[in-house]
Amino acid sequence: MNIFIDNKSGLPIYDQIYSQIKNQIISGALREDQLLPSIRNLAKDLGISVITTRRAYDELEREGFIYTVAGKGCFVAAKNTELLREENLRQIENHLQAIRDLAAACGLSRENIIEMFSVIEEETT
Amino acid sequence: MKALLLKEFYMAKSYMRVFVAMVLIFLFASVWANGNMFLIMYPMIITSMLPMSLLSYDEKFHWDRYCAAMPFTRSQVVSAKYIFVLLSGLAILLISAVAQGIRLLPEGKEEFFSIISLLLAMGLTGPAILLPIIYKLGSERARIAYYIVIGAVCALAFILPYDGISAAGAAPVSIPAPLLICLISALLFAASWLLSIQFYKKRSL
Amino acid sequence: MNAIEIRQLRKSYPGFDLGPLDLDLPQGCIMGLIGENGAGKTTTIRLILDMLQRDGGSIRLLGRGDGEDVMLTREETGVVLDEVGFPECFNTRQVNNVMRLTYKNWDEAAYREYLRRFDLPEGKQFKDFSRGMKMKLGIAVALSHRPKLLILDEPTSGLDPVVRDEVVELFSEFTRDESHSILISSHIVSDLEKLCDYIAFLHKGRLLLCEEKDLLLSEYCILRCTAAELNALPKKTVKGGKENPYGVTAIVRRDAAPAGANTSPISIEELFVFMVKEA
Repeated sequence: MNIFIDNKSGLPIYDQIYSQIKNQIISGALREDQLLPSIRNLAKDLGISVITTRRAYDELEREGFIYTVAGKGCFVAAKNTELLREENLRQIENHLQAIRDLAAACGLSRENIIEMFSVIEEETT
Repeated sequence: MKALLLKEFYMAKSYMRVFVAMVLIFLFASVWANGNMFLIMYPMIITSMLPMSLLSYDEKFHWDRYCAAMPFTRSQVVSAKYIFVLLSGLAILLISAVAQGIRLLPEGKEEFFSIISLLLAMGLTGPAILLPIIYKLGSERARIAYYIVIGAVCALAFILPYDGISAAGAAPVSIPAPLLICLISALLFAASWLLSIQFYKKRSL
Repeated sequence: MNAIEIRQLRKSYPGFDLGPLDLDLPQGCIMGLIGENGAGKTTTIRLILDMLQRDGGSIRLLGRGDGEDVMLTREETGVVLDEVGFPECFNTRQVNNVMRLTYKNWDEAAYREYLRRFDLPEGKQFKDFSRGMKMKLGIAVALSHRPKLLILDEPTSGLDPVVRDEVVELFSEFTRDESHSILISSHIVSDLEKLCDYIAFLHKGRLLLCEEKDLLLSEYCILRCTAAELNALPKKTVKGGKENPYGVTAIVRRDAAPAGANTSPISIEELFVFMVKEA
């Protein structure tokens, strides 16, 4: 498993871990029922706080991406197409928010953005 | 407790080398310089001042603060010094007893026991008076007391043999004078021990 | 369980009042105590270690209160104070001999390993050690009796950056075990930023805050904008600011920063300096 933390990006660290593990589960890089590193070991190896890794794992478990076996550790849950669809929707939402923020900085209106999107759609078909 | 005594021993070994040489020289001299009270008493007097020096080193090195976090009670920390007094005093007492015994015993026991009891008194009195003061106030503030007591004990070493024994002999009790002196010294020492513990328990470090 | 639980701790000196302080260090975590000189960090630690008598409040260490198994708690607590109090005539061997008789769980092999790692010479007397070497010896001793809790007062002061990094790494490794906890005070904030799970700010005897470090770092950010833009934000989301002829630099809550604004992550040091100026 590869995890890269960017301290300077301003994104909460737990969010970065959560996202990276989630993406690796979705892409299949992490296989079903694979054992994940313990919360403490992950924290120490990455040089970050235990509370943060715990928060990331809690979130992953809440969303159904991993499950915990008492005394053994955390494992990757089976892939779920419903979850995947939700995940993609979420990504689209994030991208839209980013577009909106950038648009605000440049002073573009909603019409401008929709126009740009239409141009892109035409180009790819 | 063993740890604390070992530490006292290590420090005594390091810092008291010159002192040990002096003690041996005086002991030697006291065997031959017939009856010179000062030579006889001096080794015990300077040995009895050792714990106070060790205590001031403890403060200087911040050992007192450092060992407050270790598994020792304040009572044990104090007791280590008092036990050191007893052990070092006993060593000097035995050696002096042998040295004086060689000189005195062939002629009769009385003077020998008087001198032994005086040595004991000298060995216990200085620490008994000074240690509680230092535990209460700290070495710095107790410095004046330290010099007064050294002076007084040395003076006592001169006066006591001549006036003290006869005074004790005139006491309205049937205990022989040397034993009386020993008992009083022991009681003083025990009281001092308890008092020091009480003082140190309240000290801020 | 909390490794340290402090409630309403108070201590008064002429001209300085500490507390009332409330502080919890959960087991398995590292808490950094940050404060300027004279803020009360050392006083707090000395109160925790029972070197000073407190004027009020309670302290529980490793789940034990006043008078409960005090010696056991001391066995389980490793302490490094800003002055390592060994007699100057001691060498490392004598330290070992005394500590062996002091602690039930003294691990001589571990001690020797630390001496080797820190490059501390065998026969040399403590008085000939440099400041850094003295601290390293103190750290070696604190770690060698299998403690559950480490209480450290400025343990990295006097150490060069390479050794500091090594030492911070050691402390981090110490809490790989979830039954181990650390309370560390320092004014080298960058060390604490790497190491700690919780950060507590102490200023003039009062606790300005005590929070999870990562939450703090994600809660606030540095905003660079014009004075007008800053004034447009709600007052309580702005924690402090500096103005220069070209604009302002301010600490604001991240969720209050306008979209697309020039923001950058904040460091604990910057946050602390700003908060102290505010206070």
